[in-house]
Amino acid sequence: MSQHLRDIIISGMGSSSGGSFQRVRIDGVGEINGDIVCASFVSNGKGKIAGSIQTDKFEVRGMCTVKGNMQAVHSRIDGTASIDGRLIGETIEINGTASVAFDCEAEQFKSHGSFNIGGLLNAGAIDIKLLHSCHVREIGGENISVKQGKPLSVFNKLFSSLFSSPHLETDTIEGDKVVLEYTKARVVRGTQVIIGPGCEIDLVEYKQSVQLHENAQVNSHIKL
Amino acid sequence: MDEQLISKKELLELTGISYGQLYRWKRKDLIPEEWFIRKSTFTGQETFFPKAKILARIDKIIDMKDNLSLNELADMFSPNLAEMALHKSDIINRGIVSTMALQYFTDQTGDADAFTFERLIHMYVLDRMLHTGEMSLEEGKGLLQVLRDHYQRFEGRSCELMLVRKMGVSTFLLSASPGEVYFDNGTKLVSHISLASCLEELKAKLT
Repeated sequence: MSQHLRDIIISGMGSSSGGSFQRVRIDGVGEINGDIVCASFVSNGKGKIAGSIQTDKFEVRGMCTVKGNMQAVHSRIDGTASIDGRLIGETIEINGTASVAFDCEAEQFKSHGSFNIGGLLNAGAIDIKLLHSCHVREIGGENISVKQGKPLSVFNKLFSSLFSSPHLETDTIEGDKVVLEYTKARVVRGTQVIIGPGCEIDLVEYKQSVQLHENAQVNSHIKL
Repeated sequence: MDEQLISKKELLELTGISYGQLYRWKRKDLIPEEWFIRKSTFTGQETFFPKAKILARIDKIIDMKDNLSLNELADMFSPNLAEMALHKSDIINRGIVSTMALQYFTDQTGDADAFTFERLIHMYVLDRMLHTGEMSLEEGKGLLQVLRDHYQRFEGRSCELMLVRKMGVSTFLLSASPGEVYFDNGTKLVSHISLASCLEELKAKLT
């Protein structure tokens, strides 16, 4: 782009109608009333995007809602983000809570928190550390790992034990290398599958190898 | 349109690819979203694909993935026009269209030293239609006109070209795909080609 792009910085309360920008930063309460294209988007506090967003870097500390689709090369969610469309990017890191209404695509997906994805989670490397309950319709990818996350403090542990213990719920998981813990799924398909403790799985289909933990509930497993 | 479907499991068995590869190709847009058809079966929701299309596509990907990067492959399969132009002599030397089609094309739309990709695809479709013998030279004018005036409207989407005749009068139709078109009994659908596959073939010839 030949024209020099400007920044939006909202400190306190403010709104913008959207457009193309260099940097967008919200400290406080900010609203973008339209589609936005920018190099970086940082929201500390409460951000709201009424349209779609396309950016290289997306960071949320606090709360942020996106009404449309989100395309972010690198996104990091340290608070709460909810996206009413699709989320597409290269790397996605969740250290808080994220909800995505439709599909979620990335080369690397890392979660150390909780998420709710209404569509397919498709990523090359999926690394999920469970801290709260996570829901997703389907998971597909190359390396998929779901592990029990270490709670950060005693306080945290106390809280999570009051409610349901952290687990992942999904319909189908398909990948090359699949390692699971505390996962409820209907079908798990993969080349190498390791089912760890706390899993409840109806059917496991594998090509090369399977390992089942004694504390896992697997109704049937077949080699293809 | 009734298409034969293939389940994901059968597809992987047949082609020998892994789940990881399939999902990666989907991420890279090598396999279009609309080919993933979710259906309810007695074991739950499963994914199906249009059999002929997906098998042809996977064959092509496996064939070419050693020479081209995944991104280059994605460009080839995308319904977007490539950004390039070709010299007139190259068109003949590389055998992209027949000399007759090129001659007719330049007679109709004006001569030039180099042709943009958009004009190349018009030329290619013209050549293909003439080759099948289903279209006369005179009708070629109508074909070029519909492509020139309306093809840009389908930017980024795939579309189909139909040639219909009734009582010796011919008409060209461009329609978005997937879509359905029905005709009365007196009308004959002479030719029906997918422009997305023409685009794919042309891009393959150019690389």
